[in-house]
Amino acid sequence: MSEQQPLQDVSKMAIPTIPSLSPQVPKQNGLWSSNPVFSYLNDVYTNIAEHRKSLGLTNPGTVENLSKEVTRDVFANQYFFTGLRADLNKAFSLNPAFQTSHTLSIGSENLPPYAFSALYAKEDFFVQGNVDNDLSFSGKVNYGWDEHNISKVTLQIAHNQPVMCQLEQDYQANDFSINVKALNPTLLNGGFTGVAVASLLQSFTSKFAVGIESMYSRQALSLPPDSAVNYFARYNAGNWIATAQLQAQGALVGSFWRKVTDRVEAGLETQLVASVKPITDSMMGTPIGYEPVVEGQTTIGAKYEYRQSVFRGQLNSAGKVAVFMEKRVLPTVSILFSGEIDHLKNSSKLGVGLQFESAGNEQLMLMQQGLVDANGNPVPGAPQM
Amino acid sequence: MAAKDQPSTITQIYNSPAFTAAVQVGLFVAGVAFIQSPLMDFLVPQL
Repeated sequence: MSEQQPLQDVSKMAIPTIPSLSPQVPKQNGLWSSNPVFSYLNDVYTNIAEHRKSLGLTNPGTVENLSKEVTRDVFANQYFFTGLRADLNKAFSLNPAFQTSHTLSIGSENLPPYAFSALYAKEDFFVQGNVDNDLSFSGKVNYGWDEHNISKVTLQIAHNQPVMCQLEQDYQANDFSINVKALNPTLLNGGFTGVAVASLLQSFTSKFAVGIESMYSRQALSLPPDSAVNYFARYNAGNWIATAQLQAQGALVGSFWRKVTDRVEAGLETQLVASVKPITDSMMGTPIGYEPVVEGQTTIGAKYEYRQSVFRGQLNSAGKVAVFMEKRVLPTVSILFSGEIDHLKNSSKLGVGLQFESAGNEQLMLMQQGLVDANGNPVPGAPQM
Repeated sequence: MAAKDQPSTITQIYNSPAFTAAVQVGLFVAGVAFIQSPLMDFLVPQL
């Protein structure tokens, strides 16, 4: 006869149970999970979430940064300037970051003669303001509610131009990103006027993501609204990235980026824009029909990062060769050079600039000169004070 | 009145939208092949 086990050890007894026949354990959280319908929906959601997690998807970035590696990092377009310029930057603190900048320019096509900008940034908060000699103002405020949610407000008040205000919300989940923005939205005129844009970029595999962007625009209630849908795809293979965009206006944009080494990147972008051009009668000058027109441009470029300088060069199918170089000649002084030659139009542009960095306190000054690190410790090998 | 001269076949091909599209797609493919090729690796400075 077997020994009787004490009652308190009943949990350790090997009692065979069949899962389907074992009684359901009441779920926590009341109605939401104990109700059979909600419980079923919860289970479906949990199953899908677990399956998505098992795919090992990563956040694909945002639609705005779809081809950032090519257009912003490699190509010189956004750094390009003409004429002479001088930047006087002063950093007052690093954490939180606070710095001001004075930019003086002469003979430039797009830079104002004088501009002042200030920047303040913390871990979850960023504000930047810029005002020029025409009193044109542009400002940007970003606030991160948590690691997934960022709200952004952009304001532009330019001379003789309407005020532009853009409200934006970014949500970046584990495997997708949503962005919603509105430009000059108002309901005060009896209905919505302004521009509203919503975009979604979803990872399908750990490397491949597709996206869609929808835009609704209405300048005034008396005018008909306009809408457009754009499609995106991005393939990130680690050391190379390919993207494609199909825009509603009839543009197709493809880009390719490769990290050749740690300090060398190469990029390529092709734009094809299809439009319709009216055909006019050569005798009467009256329109007699329409013909499709396709315009295209391909740009290839490379970025080289050296120890004291950064070099960007590019060449496009319209015959333009452009270069932008930034070289640090002293710890606090950099020289900027930008040049462009248009071989088809036989014209050229040139820009030369100086950038001065100064510090608002002694530790920052020592850091700028490479004598101490961010924690205030002496840098090995640097000459000591 | 003299009949208006028709553009040559080559001019017609050159002016067609498909030609522009084909050239740009060709340039893109050639660019990708160049960037992915060992030629791009040779353009890295050996410092």
